[in-house]
Amino acid sequence: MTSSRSNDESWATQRAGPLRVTASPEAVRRFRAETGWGEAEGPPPASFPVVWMRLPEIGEPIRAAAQAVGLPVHEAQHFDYQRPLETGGDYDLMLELRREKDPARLIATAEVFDLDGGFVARIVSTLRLIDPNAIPNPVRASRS
Amino acid sequence: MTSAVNAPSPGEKLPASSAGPFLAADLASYAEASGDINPLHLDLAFAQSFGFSARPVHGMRLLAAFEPMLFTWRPDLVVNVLKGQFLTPVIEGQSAALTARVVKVEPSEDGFVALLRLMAHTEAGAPALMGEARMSPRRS
Repeated sequence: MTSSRSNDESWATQRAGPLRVTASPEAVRRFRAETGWGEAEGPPPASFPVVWMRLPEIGEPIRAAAQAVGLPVHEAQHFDYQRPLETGGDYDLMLELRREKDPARLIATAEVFDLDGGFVARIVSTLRLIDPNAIPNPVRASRS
Repeated sequence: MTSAVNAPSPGEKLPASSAGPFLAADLASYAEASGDINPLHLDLAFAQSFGFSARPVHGMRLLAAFEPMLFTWRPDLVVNVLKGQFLTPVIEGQSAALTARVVKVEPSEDGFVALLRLMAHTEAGAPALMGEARMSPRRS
């Protein structure tokens, strides 16, 4: 796996990969059960790859950006498949994290490939980074 | 390649559906399954410190709720594209109303691709999610 940043102090773009991810039968079952499928058994839903955001290589830069700027709030999500994921399948994920300043956003783009290098899907997560100090909030004011 | 699967018609509306009500335990359970442990969805005091009256439901949970709805409507089709923009949050304890309709059908190498508009609304009628799905016949 490789990882790179365009600038270590105030990076605008960060890349990582390939990251090995899997659509494990147990994770697929749990995700289906939690997202309203009547049958927990079945193929991975199109939205299943959100579970891969728990990988440290994906989650840590998001957490770091959140610490530096503010709370990440999911603003938009896009899944675009060349072909569906398969339960039990292993994939390689190439990740690009791009930070925008005004307004503050973190855009995570993941490209998913099968182990033969065939393109499977492109996934884009857009997270708005909210500065807690910019929110007028009587609750916080009353606590301070 | 010609598809033997019947294409939907532009303007066709899917049967309306709903998701929720989402209780705190549901948010915690989804967080566990998805890995999205943002405290905004799990910690009431934290959510309130950002101006929410209660924990907001994960936006992805709403977008994911469209998939069983789409499958129930047309199990012979597969979702190639699913996207959504998260607007007004749905708050813990509330449900979301889900609607979808076919806006366009175009020929494709799989026979056709249908473009659907997806909308979720809060109980108060505010738009919670505006999205899109593209579906085509399932490859054998």
